[in-house]
Amino acid sequence: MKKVLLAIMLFAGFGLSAQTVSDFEEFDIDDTGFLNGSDGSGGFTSGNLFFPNNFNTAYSSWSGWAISNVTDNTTPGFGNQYSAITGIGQDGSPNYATSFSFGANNVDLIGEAEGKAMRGMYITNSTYAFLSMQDGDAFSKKFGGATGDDPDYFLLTIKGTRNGEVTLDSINFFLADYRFEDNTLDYIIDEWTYVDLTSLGELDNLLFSLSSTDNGVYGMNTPAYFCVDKLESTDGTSSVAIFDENPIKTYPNPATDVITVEGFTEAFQYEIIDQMGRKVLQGQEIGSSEIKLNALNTGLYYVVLWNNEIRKTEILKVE
Amino acid sequence: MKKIHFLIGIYFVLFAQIRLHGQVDTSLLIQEIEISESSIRGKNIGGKKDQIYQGNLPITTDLTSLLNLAGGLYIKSYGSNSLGTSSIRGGSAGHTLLLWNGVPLQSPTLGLLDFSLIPIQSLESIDVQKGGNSALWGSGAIGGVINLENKLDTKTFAKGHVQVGSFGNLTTGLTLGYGDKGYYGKTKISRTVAENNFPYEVAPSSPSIELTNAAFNTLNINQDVYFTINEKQYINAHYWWQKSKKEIPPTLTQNFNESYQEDEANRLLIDWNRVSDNHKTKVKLAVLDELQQFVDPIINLVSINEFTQWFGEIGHSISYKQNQEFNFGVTLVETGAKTNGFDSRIAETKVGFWLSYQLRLKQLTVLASLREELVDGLWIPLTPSVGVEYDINLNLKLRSKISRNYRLATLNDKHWMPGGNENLLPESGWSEELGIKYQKQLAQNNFTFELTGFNRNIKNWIIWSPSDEFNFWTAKNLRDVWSRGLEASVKYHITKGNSKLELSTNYNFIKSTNQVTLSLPKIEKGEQLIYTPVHQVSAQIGYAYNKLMLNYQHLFTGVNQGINEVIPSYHLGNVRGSYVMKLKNTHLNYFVQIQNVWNKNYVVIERRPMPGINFQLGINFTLYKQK
Repeated sequence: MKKVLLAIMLFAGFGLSAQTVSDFEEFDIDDTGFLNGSDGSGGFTSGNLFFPNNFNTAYSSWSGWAISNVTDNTTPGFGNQYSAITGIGQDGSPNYATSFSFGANNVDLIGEAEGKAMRGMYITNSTYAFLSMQDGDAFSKKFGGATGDDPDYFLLTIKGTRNGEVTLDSINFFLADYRFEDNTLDYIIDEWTYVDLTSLGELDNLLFSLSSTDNGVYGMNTPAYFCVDKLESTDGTSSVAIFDENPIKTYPNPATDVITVEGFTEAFQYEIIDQMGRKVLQGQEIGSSEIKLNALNTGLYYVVLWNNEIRKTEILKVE
Repeated sequence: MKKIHFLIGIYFVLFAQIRLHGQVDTSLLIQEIEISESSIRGKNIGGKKDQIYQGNLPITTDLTSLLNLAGGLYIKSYGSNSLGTSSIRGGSAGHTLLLWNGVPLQSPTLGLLDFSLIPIQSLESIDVQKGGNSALWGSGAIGGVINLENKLDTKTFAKGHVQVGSFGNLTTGLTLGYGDKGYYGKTKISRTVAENNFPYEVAPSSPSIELTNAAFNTLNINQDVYFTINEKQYINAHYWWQKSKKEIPPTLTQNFNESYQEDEANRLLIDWNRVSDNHKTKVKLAVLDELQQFVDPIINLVSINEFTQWFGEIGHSISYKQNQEFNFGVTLVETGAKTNGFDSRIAETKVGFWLSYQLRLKQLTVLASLREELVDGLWIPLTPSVGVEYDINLNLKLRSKISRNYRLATLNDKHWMPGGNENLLPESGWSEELGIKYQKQLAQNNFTFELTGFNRNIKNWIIWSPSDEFNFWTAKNLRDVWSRGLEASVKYHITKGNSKLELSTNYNFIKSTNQVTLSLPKIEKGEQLIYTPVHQVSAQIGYAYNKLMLNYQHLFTGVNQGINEVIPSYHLGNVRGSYVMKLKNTHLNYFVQIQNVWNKNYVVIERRPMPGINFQLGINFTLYKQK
């Protein structure tokens, strides 16, 4: 299911106005496998994003962001704190970034990304947090508890700031969710998972905070780590303002054999993609037009409409 | 482990076997001039003292089990044969001072000692003194003092025990005493092994599984030498070598654990004593050398904790007019320690000065003491203490004590990287206690009732919490704890012909609350400290008839708060039966023991399973010297 969404989003991004992906591949990491700010740089810039880092030279301890290419995704414990449970970056690229912070962590949008929306990013668990939730350790309990029924979760809450004010919207991404009645549905994220950030709107900063059901006197017991890769910022002239006031409308929904697309003044392209990620319809129209759905079976589809200025993706139910 | 220290120890053991010739021949019994620790410092006047072991009980358990039931203390145990630390009157583990012949045994880095490593067999006497005692003993004597002592016992020629029990338990030990006239030596060796693979369920509905990675293995060798120089002087030496390996089992919320801890300790103490008409002098010299290694192969962690402590003390006691005593002394402790968390080897020098004055009137005894300590060049505030004992009549005794007590920050608190704080002040505060004891003897029957109330405020209690500036936790003098409570005990002993009945019960009511609210760790003002139950009851019934003895012990621990979960209250019962056979100079004691006889499912520390019903049986034998 997630792969499909992934494919849609990637596909939808094709042919759009400028955006930049922060993939951390510009960093040259030595044998240690990580860059944790020990050179006192204060942070890392990748693409149009700045990832702050706080390094204490007296005690050799860091917080904020570290860049990593560690592949060991089986050794538990604090000693393997930089590693992602995937053992590699998103889509096989070696580098990724690891977050560690007591409170909230943040990412600054700089350069052309500043003040614009974020498209999305890939998130996964660190090996340290993943194995701690799966097996438990000296301080943290394994998720589900002794019986396996404890409704535990490990939640990443993403917000942003714009002009110094925190956004009202927030995005909740569960790095682990054991709240299901049926324990076979319990999961801990172990793949790179795409999270769409467009609903946060225009941003100067992204804010990340972790919370867990495994809390005690000493605060959150789950290791406060997660990993990110391929963060996409939107730059240049295109801005969320257009997305927000998106004049494109499609109706009816649910539909049976035809949908009407309104709002385009000029030519536009369209694609209809099914739940397996297969393109079932594509074409081109001009202005307000109708798209025939005769060939489609009942089910859910993604309708992607775009031209040089506007893009819209919708979920369409066909009956 | 420093091989040289071990070799020195071995030479000492071998050397002690050789009889010394040429000393002044005297038929003087060494015991006559033995100077005890309390005669040099002053007794714990006003405080509460319980003698819980005197070399007379055929015990094959470790200190944890003995203290839990007999001492009326709360021992936090992480499981069968695993880390045991004490809490006296709502204090922390570091607030109990553990002394071996007057030498503090706690680790200078952690500030505590694992009681489960101490075999009863290595000692001749154990007593517990509750209440503040820093004026005499210095740092750490806030909740109380547990005194482990080696004493001369020329009556026993040999002692031994063999015990087998559930979950692969095998405990063996042998003590040999030998000597003549002015020389007496004692060699002790004891060993305990256990698999501890007891069955348990992670949850009420779960299937029963066996505990893994919980094996335990200790070996102790002690050599004591008591040597009379002349009618005024004697010199004692004690050597104690201890080696242990403890595996650490997974918790109830952990899938596996392969970690273990290895400890090795070398302890050597020599004391020279001189007695004359009104003067007693005791000079002590000791060296403690310990290495602890915690290994977790899964996370590739090897944590090493190593320390060497040199200890020197001169104490002097002057008697005046038969009813007054003036004691004073100086103690020097030189510590060197190295752990994973230290940048480099840490050294610490402590010098303590103490003096006390005791006055005995017809019905009243008063002891006033004062102590001052210099730690790495910084003076600790004076700690005074005044204790009073008043005999209202033959049966009724009143006692009271007011003292100021302190505990220095451990080396870990001060120097751990990151987070150690060199500027930490010692935890300190005033304690007050008032007790009444009623004792009635009628023919061969004995009744004792004792009630003690205590109150204690400790400021600057050290706690680790997130630093304001940095991204790690740091040690701070943040907490303020108010402890108060009641301790009640009743003992009844009846003898009728060949049968004896003994009943005893202890009740502790302890309120030990935080007086400052903190956000992290999450502490509310007025909240009881974690792992400190408010109610604790222990009771014993013993019945002896001729050669048979039956004993039932019951322990109730009230509900208390863990780090993540609430620890429910629980009842535990132990049964012991023994049969004594006496042949000429030999005493044979056959025993059977059932622990957790009600097969209760309980935990002391959250998520650490404890064994259900388990059995031990064995033999103790004692060979007495022919008269």
